[in-house]
Amino acid sequence: MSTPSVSVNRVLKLKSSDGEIFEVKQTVAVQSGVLKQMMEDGCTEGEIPLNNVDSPTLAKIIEWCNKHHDNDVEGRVLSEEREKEKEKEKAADMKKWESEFIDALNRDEIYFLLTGSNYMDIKELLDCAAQKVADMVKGKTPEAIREMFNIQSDFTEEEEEAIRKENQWAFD
Amino acid sequence: MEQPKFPNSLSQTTTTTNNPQRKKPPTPQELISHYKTQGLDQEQASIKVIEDLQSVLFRVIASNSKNKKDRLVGDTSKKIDVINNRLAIVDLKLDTKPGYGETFALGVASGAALNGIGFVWPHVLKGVGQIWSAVRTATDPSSTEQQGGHLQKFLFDVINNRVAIVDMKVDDSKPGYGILIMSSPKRTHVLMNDVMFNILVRLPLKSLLQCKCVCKLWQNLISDPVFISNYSRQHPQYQVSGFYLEKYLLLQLHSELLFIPWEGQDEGVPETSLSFIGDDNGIYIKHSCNGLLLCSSFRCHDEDREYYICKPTTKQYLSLPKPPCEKVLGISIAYDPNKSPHYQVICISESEVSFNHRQVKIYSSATGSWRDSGNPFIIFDEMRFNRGVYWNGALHWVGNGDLSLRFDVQKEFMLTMPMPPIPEEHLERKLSYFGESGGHLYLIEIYDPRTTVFDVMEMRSDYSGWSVKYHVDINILKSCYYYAMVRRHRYVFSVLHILHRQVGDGDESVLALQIRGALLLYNLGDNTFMELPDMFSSGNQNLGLLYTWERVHPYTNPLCYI
Repeated sequence: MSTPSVSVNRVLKLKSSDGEIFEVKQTVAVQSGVLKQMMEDGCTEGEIPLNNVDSPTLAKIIEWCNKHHDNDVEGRVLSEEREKEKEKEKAADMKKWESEFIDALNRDEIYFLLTGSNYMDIKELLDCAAQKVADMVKGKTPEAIREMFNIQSDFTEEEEEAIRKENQWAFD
Repeated sequence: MEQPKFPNSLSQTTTTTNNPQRKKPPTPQELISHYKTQGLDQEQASIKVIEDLQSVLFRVIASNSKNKKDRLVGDTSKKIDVINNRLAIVDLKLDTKPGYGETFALGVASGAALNGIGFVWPHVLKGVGQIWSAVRTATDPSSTEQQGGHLQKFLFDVINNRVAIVDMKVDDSKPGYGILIMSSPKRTHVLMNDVMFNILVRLPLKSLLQCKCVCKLWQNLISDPVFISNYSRQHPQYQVSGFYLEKYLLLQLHSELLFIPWEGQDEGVPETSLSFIGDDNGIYIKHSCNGLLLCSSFRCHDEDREYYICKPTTKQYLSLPKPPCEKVLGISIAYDPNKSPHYQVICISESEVSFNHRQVKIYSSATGSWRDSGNPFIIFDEMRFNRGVYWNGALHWVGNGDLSLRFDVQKEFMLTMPMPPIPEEHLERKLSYFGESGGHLYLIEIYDPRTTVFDVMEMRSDYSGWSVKYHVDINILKSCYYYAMVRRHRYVFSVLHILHRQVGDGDESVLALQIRGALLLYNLGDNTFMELPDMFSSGNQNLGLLYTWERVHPYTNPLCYI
């Protein structure tokens, strides 16, 4: 937030792929690497089209950013008061909020969030969504993973057998 | 390919507009029908459209850069990636000779790239060159054959809302570049490689290995060296360094192994039984290098001997083709995962030329085959070719006499290595330790068994000679281990390995010593020592391992070898 062009009261207008306009405070928008870069370059006049992000996803992303922004602001005050206990509590609350946030989403929404947060370069959200997908994959057999993502194997039977043999340990 | 000419209709639209956000270029469908009315068939029309879309893209960028002052944006790569991925689709399309439905999707892909420009245009400038070269290679008939291998069923599946897995390489300098299409029952999603990386890197090793079986794209992502090194950094629990002690026992099919961990976590400790390789003649270790073991059949004649490369942490192994020679004198791996994902196996064999000639043979994991390296060379000294040490990109062997050799694996040169002179009263070299640790090549020679004093020497990196790194006196051990150590005024101990670790800013070097029945770690910095507890308890005690082990194999696994 060191950039002079970022001010508390200014808002950015984000336009989702389906044409809906969202207003976001600049101080919130800096969580997106791409938007931050644009602010620093001073090219945030007018609507900013986000062609890879639809409106439900953008709404979710903004919800996330708002929550994290609020937490950030409060967090700073607390650390000045050296209330480490409360800070920890805050962090735990945030973790809880994050997991509830992500657990409430269906698979489609998670994918959209992944691509959207990647596109807008919001690392924390991307990490959170990626962790969710990783948790879904964890401990599953290749067959179950294929079924989950609707992936068709492009291995021949021999190829697959060779990989299984090479990685026998994982299948024990 | 020449820069495509603009058809009139398109050129009118684009020359009058500087802002693609406000005024849209014709849609791909319009363009295709436009060309079809001009008598082109479906395929030609499709290609035309792609060219046009690329032209527009180019012009948009060009006109934007003229109108606004130049801005170079720091984080450009992501946006260029987006464009490149799109172009990869375009690329792909050109190769697979589009039909109508596919062309439509192609247009969408291109068009999306185009629309995206309004948003990302400052970032894209650098990508233009790449874009053009991508289009050029895609449309150049001579390159299609070479690209065909990478390009698979794609857009058809997307349109039908099925899943396509694409392994595309726009640019060979970016390995594994591609897109994953995942679909849930309702929708199809495109995930960039970096997102997939982000997901896969969070999996435990077992899950990750299972994921290699899902499809080729996943396998390629997981096998990518960049991914492996990232994964290893984030999962230090799979890293370990230490050493194997190996003993050959009568009537035992396999050699007996004990692993002594030094640094790292329990999860990284490798298997101490290599019986998972399942060789009827048993298994023993021939050489160890940066996490890979070279093993071979144990109880058999040379002609029946099989060789294996094995990752003992994950029980992965593969069988090597037999070295094409009668007698293998020494065989070693040269592997540096920080430099290359490929390894070489260097075999020193007898030569048909004469009894004293030797031949270097190299197996490369990149080619999967053996070949001779250079001509046979003559050697009269007795060399310990079966005790090769890999350091500094070369394998090193000490001889029993004055000669010692090193083989530069990359340049394939065999050179001599200077050695300390053998004292006059001795006929041959008395090697106590020769090995690599923490990036150093060490040598310990002890000629007089009646002393507790010896030098740890280190090879200078320019091979100009050995210098004394530590002057050691282990006299302090005598009081604690007198009966175990002293036999008829001689000291009986063996140096197993020199271990290294970072402590703060400095290095700590520790000598792993064995005296009868005990394993000691002797700190070379402060001359303190400690005994490793229970090393020879229960299971290991009945091995009769009082004095020696046949072999010591240092083992470090700085990366998880997936």
